Amino acid sequence: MNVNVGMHEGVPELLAAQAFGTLTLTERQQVLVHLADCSTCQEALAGWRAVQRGVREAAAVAPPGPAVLEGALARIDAEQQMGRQVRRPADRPRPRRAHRVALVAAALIALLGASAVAVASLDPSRGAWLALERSLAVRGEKLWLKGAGCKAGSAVSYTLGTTQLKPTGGSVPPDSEGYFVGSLSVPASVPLGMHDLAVGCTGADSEPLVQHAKVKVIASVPREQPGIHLDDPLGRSAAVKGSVVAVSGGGCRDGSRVTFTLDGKPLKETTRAWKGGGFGTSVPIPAGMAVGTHKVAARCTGRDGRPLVVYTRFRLAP
Amino acid sequence: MSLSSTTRTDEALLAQLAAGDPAALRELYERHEAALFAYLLRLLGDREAAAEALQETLVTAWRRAETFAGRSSVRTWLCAIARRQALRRRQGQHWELTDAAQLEALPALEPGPEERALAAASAQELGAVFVRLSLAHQEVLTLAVIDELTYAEIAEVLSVPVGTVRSRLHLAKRKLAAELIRGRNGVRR
Repeated sequence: MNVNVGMHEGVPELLAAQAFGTLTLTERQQVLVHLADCSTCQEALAGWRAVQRGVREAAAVAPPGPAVLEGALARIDAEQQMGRQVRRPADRPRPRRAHRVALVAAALIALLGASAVAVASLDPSRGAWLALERSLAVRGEKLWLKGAGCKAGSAVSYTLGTTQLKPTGGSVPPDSEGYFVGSLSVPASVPLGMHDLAVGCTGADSEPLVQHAKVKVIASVPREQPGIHLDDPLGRSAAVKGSVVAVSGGGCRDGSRVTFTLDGKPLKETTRAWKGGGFGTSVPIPAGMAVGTHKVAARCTGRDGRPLVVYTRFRLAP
Repeated sequence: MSLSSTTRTDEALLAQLAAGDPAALRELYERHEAALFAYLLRLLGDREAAAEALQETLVTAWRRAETFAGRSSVRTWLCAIARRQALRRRQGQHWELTDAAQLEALPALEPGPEERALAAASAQELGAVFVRLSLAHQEVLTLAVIDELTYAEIAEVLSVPVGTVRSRLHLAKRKLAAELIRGRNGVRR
């Protein structure tokens, strides 16, 4: 060991780790030998111990408990069921179609962890899926989607009908796990009606990957009556723990600020009403939320200038 | 399945998870819950968001268990997953996780007064000042103190060189001391 007891050499750098208990035995011995004769390092070590007390003080919070684990295990179970179903369809009786769709959608909603709920495409064998924030696209507005299965950093192309859509600033190229986010503006030139949205990239397996979704293009946000509802692709008015659901509604004054509450508790998410009074946001469903009926409410300035509160109840599935 | 598991290492549990047995997750969770949660809470600042990111971390750990190559400790690997989940959650938000904004000159003090200010402060004072540090500094100190990672392990989680971890730790400590002294002298921002 090249320790020179009289000198600091290398020791000050180790003092934080000495205080925090993360040194190897050899390093610890080196520090202790030096400390015996060095008051500067003794002082510095006392300083690091004080830092440790402060960090521990700030971190002294109750951990979240078993709900987080149970939620994770439920999601893993759902994924495993989905995987089995796709890989070995002959091994088990084919579930009824409605059940199958519900199962896949529930598993995917649980998987998304983002505000997208309209599941558009799914190819578990390639780890690929695509989900839209909403399947209604408004000319001149943003269309937001996310997906997985692309090779890290590969370019993602978006074609709506025959129109190439350019990703805007909010887009995120595929990360190391293949997840990507597309924030697309819908040009006014896109014909109204139902279109195929093709999302292409180089797949994680280096083969071309194209996923499809149906998107309905409308001219403007409908002037919705006062109200709010969950944008649930299955129309079940239900949510899954730990997921994020999209809610939308209408009746607000154009551009007014819309705030939301979940069971009376204010949410961080706020938005501004579109032209026409419609609004939409995504609401994270806490992992620790109790199964049962819950209430989501939106507040804004109504079209008559008076405060407007609209709410809906939804069921939380285990 | 219900065999005594007290002697199983984290690596063994992860291998069990990779082999398709999610039950191993239960034990990994018990071992790392508090440390991962504290880290995520520091990064996200909100209990619910941290709990959700923790659940996401567990599911991701299950999905990617077979990719664990044993080059780092399991906790380091889990912290790196947790950090990615937190980053994803804060996508689009301005999030300063480097020292860029922190390199402004700190008051030129001799080490002595800094160390003495730290040593004389109560845990409550230190904790109150700590949570006002930059996120980069809170993060590096949390990984060192709460997650008990070595410098090299922190470097891996943060994807920075080990030297950066050392300097960031020192800068965080000096900043903490400077804030204490500033508070004591009655200087308020």
